[in-house]
Amino acid sequence: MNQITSSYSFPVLEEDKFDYIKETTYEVNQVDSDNKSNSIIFEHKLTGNNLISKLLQNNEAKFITTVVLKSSMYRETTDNILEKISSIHIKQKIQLKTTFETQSFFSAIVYTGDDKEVILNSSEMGLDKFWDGATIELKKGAILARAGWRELENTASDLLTIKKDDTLEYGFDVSVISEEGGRFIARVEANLYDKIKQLPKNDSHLRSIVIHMLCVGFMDLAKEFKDDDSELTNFKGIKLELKNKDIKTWEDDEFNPNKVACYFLKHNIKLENDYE
Amino acid sequence: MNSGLQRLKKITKNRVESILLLNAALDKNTFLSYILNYFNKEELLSEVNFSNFNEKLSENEFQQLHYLHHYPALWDVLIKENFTPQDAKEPTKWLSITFQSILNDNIKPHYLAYVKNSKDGKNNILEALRLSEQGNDDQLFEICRAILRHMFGNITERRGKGVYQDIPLAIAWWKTYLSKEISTTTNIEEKDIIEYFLNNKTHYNDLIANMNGKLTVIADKSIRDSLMAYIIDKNTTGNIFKDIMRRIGIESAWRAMGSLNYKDNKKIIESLVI
Repeated sequence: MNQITSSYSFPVLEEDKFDYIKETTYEVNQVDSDNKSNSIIFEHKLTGNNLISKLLQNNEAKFITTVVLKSSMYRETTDNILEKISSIHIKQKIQLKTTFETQSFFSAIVYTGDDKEVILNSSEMGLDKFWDGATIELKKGAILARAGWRELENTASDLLTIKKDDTLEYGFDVSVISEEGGRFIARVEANLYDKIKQLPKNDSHLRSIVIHMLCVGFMDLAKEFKDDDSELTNFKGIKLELKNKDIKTWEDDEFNPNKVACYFLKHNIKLENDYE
Repeated sequence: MNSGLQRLKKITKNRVESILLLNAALDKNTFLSYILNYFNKEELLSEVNFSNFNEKLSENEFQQLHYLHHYPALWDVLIKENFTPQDAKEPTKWLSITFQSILNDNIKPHYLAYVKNSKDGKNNILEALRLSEQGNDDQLFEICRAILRHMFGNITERRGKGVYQDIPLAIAWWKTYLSKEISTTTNIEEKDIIEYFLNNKTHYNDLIANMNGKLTVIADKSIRDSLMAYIIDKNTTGNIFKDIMRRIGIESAWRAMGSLNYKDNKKIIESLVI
């Protein structure tokens, strides 16, 4: 018998869904990272007195995070608890893989008890009145609350790798590679590379060089991947950010590589008055 | 490495370069020199050390590596080099391994020139060059793509999945890796899992295609292992494998199967089968 009948036949706490009253919230934030152990810490926090908090108190629900590396087909779900602040508030340690590949995370609260029927009561369970009196079937693994997908935060300059190239006579050459989710690779002539290495991180000249590199990189991106950038998973966040800001992406004919490079790494040039 | 790879990938539509590649594949040293037009030798060799692979393979053996003999030999060599799944998805690693296999006489370059219904690489090359001289380049481009595909997988038309489905040595590594992982969870013998993959090539390809992009939830360790345990227990063949994966995809819209253990998921999968 086909059992696929339970899709969303129970209230779910998530953004833009109104099964729960507004006092009920679920947030997941990255609160720390540890380069030494290559891990990050997620804090899961549920608020309000509701159906989910009751299930958590009764050990019938748990906080989970799924880690995904799409290209290398790695996907694993953890329910570890690094620190239990309360039954509805925990910290979770997420072990990262050593890779340039984009690592994506999905956090949620899931039901872990045996399959059972529950009669809903909105005032006791923090639910919208719509659910009052409804009987739902909770099944093991049901996603009660979801915080959605996230990626390790990165920006365009994080995706730029600068390499020394003894075969170049002058300047630099930037290209986009599609491996490992995609990166800009700037091959730099030896003398320039040595000078770049000596410049302080916040140096105006260095910023200008990097903006120039990003600009050329974005030009290459528009040229080579305008019609199909599905392999460039590392660039997804950047594209989303541009769309959110109403800036044209490399998919558009009006894409402006210089503007986008400057958006991600603003020029830091002293004006005349700054020297007074 | 990567700029060389980008340039090499583009030759599949270039007649002059395709002819050069096919001619090069008839001779070991010419072929190695051809590849080094695109890559620095030291960089290519430093991707991974494959010099300890001592098998001398025939053309037939290379195309059908033996799971009891060649698979463990390949695995043992690479495990000593700390080769990870993240490495094993990289076209450049397999390009380096293929390059070293030719350099060390494990295989001959024309072994790479096989296609589905014609396994004799040398004959395929000569025929493609002959037809090209007569103005028909179809086979020239087909054999050019075959050589690159079997060397590093990642030619444009195949995208990421080519690494898992087209490179004989990579296929052997991934089947071994998956069998070891699944065996640890389910206690099914590694040998039985590999045999299932070998006897059901379409299922292996479907599994990879889903894990790698179409339906990544299948890659979740707990789901993947339960799925394979169910399939092997029931000795399921035919379209039902695809159908179960589709149903897992639907179920996953509301149920975090990855957070459940293997036994729970096996029960769920049983309930999904009509």
